[in-house]
Amino acid sequence: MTRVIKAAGAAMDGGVGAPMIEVERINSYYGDSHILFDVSMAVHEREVVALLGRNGAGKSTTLKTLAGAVHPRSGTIRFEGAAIEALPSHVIAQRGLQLVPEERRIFGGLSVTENLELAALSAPQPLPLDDIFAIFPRLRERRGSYGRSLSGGEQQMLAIARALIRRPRVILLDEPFEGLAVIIVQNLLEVCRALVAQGQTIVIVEQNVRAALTLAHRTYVLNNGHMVFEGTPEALRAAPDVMDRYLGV
Amino acid sequence: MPTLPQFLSQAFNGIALGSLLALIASGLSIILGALGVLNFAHGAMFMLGAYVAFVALGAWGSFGAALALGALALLALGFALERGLIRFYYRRPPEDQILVTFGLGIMMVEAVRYIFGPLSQRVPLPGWGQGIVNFGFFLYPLYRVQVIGMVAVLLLAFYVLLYRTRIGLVVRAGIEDATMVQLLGTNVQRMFLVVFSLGAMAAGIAGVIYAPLSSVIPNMGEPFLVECFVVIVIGGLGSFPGAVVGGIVVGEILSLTTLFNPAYAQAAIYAVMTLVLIVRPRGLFGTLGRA
Amino acid sequence: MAIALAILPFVFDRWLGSVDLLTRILIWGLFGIGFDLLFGRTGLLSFGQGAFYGTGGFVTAFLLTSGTLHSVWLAMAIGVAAAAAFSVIVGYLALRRIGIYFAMITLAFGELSFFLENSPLSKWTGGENGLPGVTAPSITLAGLDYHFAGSWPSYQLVAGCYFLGFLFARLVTGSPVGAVLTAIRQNPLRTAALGHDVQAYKLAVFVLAAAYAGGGGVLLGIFQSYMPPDAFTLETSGQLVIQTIIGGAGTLIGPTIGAAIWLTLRDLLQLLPAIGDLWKFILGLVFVILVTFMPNGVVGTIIRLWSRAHPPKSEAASAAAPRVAAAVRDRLLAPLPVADGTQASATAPLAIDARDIRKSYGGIRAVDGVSLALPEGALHAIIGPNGAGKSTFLKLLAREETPDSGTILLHGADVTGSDVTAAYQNGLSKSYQINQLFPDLTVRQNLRIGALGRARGRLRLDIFRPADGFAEVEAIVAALIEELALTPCADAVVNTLAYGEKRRIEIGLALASRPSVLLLDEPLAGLSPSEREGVKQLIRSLRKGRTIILVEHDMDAVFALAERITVLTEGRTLAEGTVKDISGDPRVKEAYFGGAGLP
Repeated sequence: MTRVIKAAGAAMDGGVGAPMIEVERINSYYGDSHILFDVSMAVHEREVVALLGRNGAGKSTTLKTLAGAVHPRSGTIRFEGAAIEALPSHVIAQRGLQLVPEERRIFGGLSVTENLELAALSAPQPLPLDDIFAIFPRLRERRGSYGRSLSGGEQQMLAIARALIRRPRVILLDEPFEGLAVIIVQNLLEVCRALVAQGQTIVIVEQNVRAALTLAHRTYVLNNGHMVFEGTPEALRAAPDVMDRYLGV
Repeated sequence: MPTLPQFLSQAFNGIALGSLLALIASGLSIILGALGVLNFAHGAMFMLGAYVAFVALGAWGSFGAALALGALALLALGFALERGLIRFYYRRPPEDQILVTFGLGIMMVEAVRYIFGPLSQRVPLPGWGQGIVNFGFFLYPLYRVQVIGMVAVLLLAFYVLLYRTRIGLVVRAGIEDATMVQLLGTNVQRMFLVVFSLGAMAAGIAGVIYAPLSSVIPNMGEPFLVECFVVIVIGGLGSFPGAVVGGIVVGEILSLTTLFNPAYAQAAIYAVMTLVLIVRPRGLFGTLGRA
Repeated sequence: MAIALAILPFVFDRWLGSVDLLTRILIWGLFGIGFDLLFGRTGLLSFGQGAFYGTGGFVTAFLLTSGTLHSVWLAMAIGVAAAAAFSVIVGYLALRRIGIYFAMITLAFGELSFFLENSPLSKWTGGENGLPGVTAPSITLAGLDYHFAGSWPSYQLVAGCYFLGFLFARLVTGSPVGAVLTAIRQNPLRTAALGHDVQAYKLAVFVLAAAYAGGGGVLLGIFQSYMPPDAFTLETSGQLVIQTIIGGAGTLIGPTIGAAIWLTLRDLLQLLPAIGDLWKFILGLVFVILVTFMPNGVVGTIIRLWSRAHPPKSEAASAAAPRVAAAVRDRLLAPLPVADGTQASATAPLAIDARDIRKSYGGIRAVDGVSLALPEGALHAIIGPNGAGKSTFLKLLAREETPDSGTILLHGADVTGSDVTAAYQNGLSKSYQINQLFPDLTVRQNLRIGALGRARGRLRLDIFRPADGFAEVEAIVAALIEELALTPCADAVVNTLAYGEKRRIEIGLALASRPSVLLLDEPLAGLSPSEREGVKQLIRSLRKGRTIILVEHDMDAVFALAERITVLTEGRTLAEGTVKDISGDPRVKEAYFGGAGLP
């Protein structure tokens, strides 16, 4: 079960740079429930990595561990050469590793603008609000509205915008398309593509495998807390056994 | 039946008392909302502020010095307590947090009793606060009008701090979801420290302002603590507008009931609290968050 | 205990001041026993116990000083009853909230009582002066009158009451009621989900605690021949809390030890000129230190050190316990027969019949018109991507949440409006995605809470019976332990166990009611491959004719276990069919890979 299938020809795309995040054999727990088993992975500069797997495979836990919301009991995480696995989450965020959590966690009692201002507070060189509103014109229209009055799609835009305004080195996107209408998913996908074109490094967890594969340079597949596949989207598509066994039905 | 001047005079008393309650309760409520800690020592902090006024007014006769000293002393005390003790309690059950702050409150009261004695002592009115205002058809003590003015300014400052500053932004966000604030790069622990210190300071300032209205006695904070609980239950947990409106409501109920039958003044606020609990358990402005 | 009560007065008389000090300690101790049942056992921190202490004391004092009653004993009984009656009202209101709010509300009611006593009722209570001249009771033994007035007779009266009160509390804590109270402190939601009416038990213990408080107040008035108004103050309630914490909550004797420490230290420290006036400050400091570093208090810490030095030999005992034969287990764990009279139709009986269930949370339709009809004995799986509404649907079936619309029939009876407690009583139980156990109880005690739920009904105040006194409950628990392969750790405290063992207890709790319908929410979550095999095996053996609904992400397990499968997406049923139908269905594949309409 724990065998890592190395796909042949998993070479990097031309634009991909030096390793940015190096995860080595981390083991994470919720309470006493063992979620991640010796998970290793790497993310390079300007790379989009898709982390796939079924519900409960440990994808969200992996992102939370990277962001410092969960601390691994063993293993190391290096970010730009420095060990970060023991750092508190706000320090990790300040270093430029920014999580967009699955539940979005918009501050319902704060306006759209306040949500963005809060996110920008601890960023050294935040993007101007106008740049954010250029990416998400919908948010400009609703800038004075309380977070709790936004639709699901608007909340997801705001959640991503909160990350972008901090100009993170890496964005960790946890199920950004979940529960959204197709049109909004396409809109968000376009935003993501534009980010990728600018060289933004992204780690994306998504159940919507097809959407994730259109973005990713490289994929990892988790199953029951074990890393079971690493390779390019092409290599994954060419491995129907992996697709069916770990992702499909 | 009371006369109209009596009624107006009591209504003014209600605003004076209610605005003070609002100031104390907003500190208590913000601490509760952001940190999840119900500070049972809050009444004792109010009492400490009043004793600072007693000492400062006695020594220098300067109300400004008393206000500054009271604010600073309680800010420092809040700072020290959060760093030294309270922060170790964030992960413990709410009952433990109540117990430890209850114990701290006793220590404060007893320390004051030891130093200043158990008897009540008069605090002089500041020179500019002596006198009577003539509202035409009723007379009202000048200092009480000034109390209403000062507390209004302070509540406004509290409002600006919460709703117009970066610190306030972090605090309001932290009341909703401290973990997400942390994930967005802001050190929540530091915010907790700021909130606890500011909450203590608000109680201290209220104590300074209250002292000349009455006298000081070591256990004077206890009824205020309980009335603040009533304010929070009525206004809604962690809500600044709730604390302000709840404070005025409680102040008015206390004062106006006194006009008709003083014996039932206290009972009346508990009756209203009970009503709120039954009809709207989250309080007037509360959301169904914590607890 | 009886011996200690007989010897101690001589010790106090000779070395520690006077017998009166011990009498005071025992009055506080009796008051504290009730509070310990409330806070130490059930976890309800009340800051308003003074209200009941005062009520008991003043009602009795008024009846005696006003000459309304001549029988002192009757006046005492009425005082206790009045405190209990008052607590029904306060408890009804305060118990609507928990934690911080409960503490605040009880405190507010305590203050309210103080103000009521002090002015509106001062005609009867003497206001700030209290009521002097409370008479002491007497008994006639062999033609001789014995009057309980004066130091030693008062002590005898108080010690007698304390002894009886202590015995009664011991009965309560050892009874099934005590077991339920402990369960409520550790996990109120699960206790309710195991068929116990948590609110009713809370109110019962609140009233009982108030009766103890009333008894303490009554004795105080008689002992002092004077009922002081400060019985009602926050200081009284607070001192009770402090004494209980110092002595050790949850130990019954703890509050008495705490009172002894508080009152003796007060007397001793006050004698020292250097710190005399600081005695309460010092006790406050000690209290803060104890809360911070020794939350079990003096007695609790001693018990812990003792049990660490003398570990119980229960493991050997449980290994030696007779094994339950497989056939007996099958019989004991088979579903209880469904109550007759609910089957209106003559058609094949449906165990679960959920029709067009809908549930929204703030505009998001979590479950949007799902129907599910299962014959008795079916093993049905519900699968679907994240956010499909599986867990919500299961919550609605288990009656943890009420659907916005739709009906749920259990064996033909409409249960849409019932609660989770009733569902358990009716044979529908659920094991949770995240373990919901009683962490400080042993495996056996955990399972017993579950089995008692159905054996005793929603509420029963059977305090004269030991918690392990139900033969059929013990038989079921023993069979469960065997079935779940938990025999080696049957008497180990749950929080010391490994995750896999806890996961099996989680399922065992749901099974303890011998349910006819069992809902399993991700039973395999967080388990290692070998543990998964074990639990899969367990699920198979659990069927015994019962209906099982399984929500699970491990597709291998779902395909291996389920007969039929429902696929949910976005709150709706996408497909339903056999394993073969579902695994070959392109729509299902699409739902899992996502991207309807995407490139």
